[in-house]
Amino acid sequence: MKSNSQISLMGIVLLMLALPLPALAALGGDVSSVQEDQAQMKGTLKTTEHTAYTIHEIKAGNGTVVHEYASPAGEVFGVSWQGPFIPDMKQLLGSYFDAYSSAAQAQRTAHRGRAPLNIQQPGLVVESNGHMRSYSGRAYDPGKFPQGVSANDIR
Amino acid sequence: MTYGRGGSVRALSAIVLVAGLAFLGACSSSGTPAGVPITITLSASATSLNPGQSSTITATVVNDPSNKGVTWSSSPSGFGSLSNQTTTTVTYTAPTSVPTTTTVTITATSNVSSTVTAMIQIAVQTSAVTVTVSIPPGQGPAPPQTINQGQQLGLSATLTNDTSNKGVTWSLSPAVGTLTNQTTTAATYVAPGSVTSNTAVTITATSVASSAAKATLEITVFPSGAGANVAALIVDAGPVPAQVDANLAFVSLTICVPGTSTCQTVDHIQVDTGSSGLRILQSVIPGLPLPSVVDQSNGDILNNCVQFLDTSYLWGPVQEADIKIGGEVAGTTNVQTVSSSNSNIPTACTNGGTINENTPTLLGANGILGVGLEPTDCILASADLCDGSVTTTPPNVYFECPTSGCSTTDSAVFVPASAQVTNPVVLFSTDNNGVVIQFPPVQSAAPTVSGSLTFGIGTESNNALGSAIVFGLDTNDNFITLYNGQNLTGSFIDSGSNALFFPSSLTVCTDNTAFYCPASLTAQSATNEGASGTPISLVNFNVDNADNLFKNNPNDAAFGTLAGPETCTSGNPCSFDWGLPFFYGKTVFTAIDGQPVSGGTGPFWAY
Repeated sequence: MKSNSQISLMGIVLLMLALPLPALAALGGDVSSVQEDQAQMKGTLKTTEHTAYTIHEIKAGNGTVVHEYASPAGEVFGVSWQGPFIPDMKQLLGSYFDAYSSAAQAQRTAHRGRAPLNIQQPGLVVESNGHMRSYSGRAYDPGKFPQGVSANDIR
Repeated sequence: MTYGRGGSVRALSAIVLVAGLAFLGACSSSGTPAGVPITITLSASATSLNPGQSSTITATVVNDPSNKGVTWSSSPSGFGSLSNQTTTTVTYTAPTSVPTTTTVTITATSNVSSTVTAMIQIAVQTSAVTVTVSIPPGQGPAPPQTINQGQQLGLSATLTNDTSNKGVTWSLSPAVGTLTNQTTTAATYVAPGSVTSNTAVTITATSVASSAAKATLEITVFPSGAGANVAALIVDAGPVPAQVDANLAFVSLTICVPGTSTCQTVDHIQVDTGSSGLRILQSVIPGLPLPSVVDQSNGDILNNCVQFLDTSYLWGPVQEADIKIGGEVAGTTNVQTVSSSNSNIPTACTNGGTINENTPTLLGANGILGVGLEPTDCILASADLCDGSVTTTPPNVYFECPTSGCSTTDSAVFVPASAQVTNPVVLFSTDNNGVVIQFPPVQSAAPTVSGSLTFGIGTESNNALGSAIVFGLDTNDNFITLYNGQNLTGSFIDSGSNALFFPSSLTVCTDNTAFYCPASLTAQSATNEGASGTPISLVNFNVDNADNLFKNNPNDAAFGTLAGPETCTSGNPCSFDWGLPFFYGKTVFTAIDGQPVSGGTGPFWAY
């Protein structure tokens, strides 16, 4: 009986000194935090101006792409994600996290089996689905949409 | 049933079963008026008790001006106990073990005159008979039990509180095969010489003394051609009593310390083609000394994290085990042992959540067997996302911790594929390029459904692709489903999803909001396409009202018409999630990424 694995972990790269995950601006947060993040996310941030909002596309180092939707007033009103890993939800949802967490756990407890996530509250919508290594989803506060924006814009 | 002397009987109410009267003659004392009879009337809160239950007996004493009341006794002595005794009440508690039904007599004796008594009888029922059915040790694995056609299996029944040793009678349903050598405690099941498909039979042992006491055992009979590469699947209520999950497919497997016979067999492992690698709850293999995978440069222990969208997660060390399923063996396989402890888990894993699903109640299973499209849990379309070759930041999947434990601030590390949690199928010596899952049709609801998990594709006579249509996948391991005018390019087949989930205008349930609730059974259709646009295949299916299904079938676990919503916005890679109901009535092949299959290479699905 072996007490240790014979597998060599020489390939393991300890990340103690490596890059922290880029801090994302949270849902409901100020767009200035996105701009502050820009330095950390150099090369991974792409900003696209639309008539009614600005999309900040952040490609995380783990391969997951996050979109943040900011109003002309500078407030993040929606986020979406797609990729092999679930993003840092606490960071992404900010002050909305607790509402998301309790609703998500309630769905898990109430339902038989594990279903796609579908939270529809007046001030928070979270929809997410996928399978291991392929996830997508979005979260938004419909009350914070700028004029002319609908849920269909959050992709 | 009255006892007494010198007087008449008064029934105070229906619950007064025994009344005692006495006439006190010349021997008056204690202020009792001479010549006036003392009467004692008894009533009981219950006159029939199960073992361990209690009854309160109350005495009503008439012509007892000093209120001296009564003294209590019971017979047979030592059978049960009297407590809370006052001069007018007492509590009788029956013994917890009652070999035979026994009548107890409680006697109240006047404290004025010992000749004045009243009695009441209480029937104490015998302890309930219980029956269990088992396979004698060494004659087969844990349920779900399987045998090949023509084989036989010894069964034994164990009873408790069967005081007359009357044993059981045996029955078989449906009448496939026979029960021979029947005694009151044993029988032999003989499978028919030939079955055409996987056939489930239920054997019931019913107590002769108490027909309400029975036990069942389900056996799946495999047709010819079933070999060492087949394991039985069962959809049933799951490992937790009184917790009925829907559409979870379970297998039994044996997990061993590598290279030893130190093993444990675990039932109710959920089979999931939507993930890769075995995850087993530490709480169901207590004391099994599996070696942990360690970083030999510093002795740190490697831990694994699975995050779920609902903020729950699985956290625990990567450990090595030999895994035996059916007749296949995956030697020295990296598995995740889901830790029983919830402390000091890195927040990068918990992702704000608080629930490590480390009990059968939380997970709904004793573990998850990921037999999906990839050889490890961090490879996607031949790209290793956890070894640093294609990602610049380690995903929150692997963490190194000193033997003293992790801390909440630990961050993820890159690990090579050889240290990652591994799909056991790729480590089989043969039949290692994929799996085949087969279930009979489930029209509506059923308490259990038996199927099979066959290893290998095109490697044996029992796992040939035959006329199955092969669907190629994109680089996210998805294919295309066309449904109701929607082009769902992120679609997938997943035995670990317990319903069909897709974006639709069907009404969402009010009670079970993860499911659809059309007014009545609704016919639907969709077209599956390979990721390149071909081949195409029409799928017809039905959706029923989930609230009604659950309400009307509270003990059923298999639902063939269960579906639920998945949200979709144009621009997103929307999904049709073909969960377990898709597998009912089909043979579904899942071919592993990079593994050669006759005529091609995985990953693909075929059915």
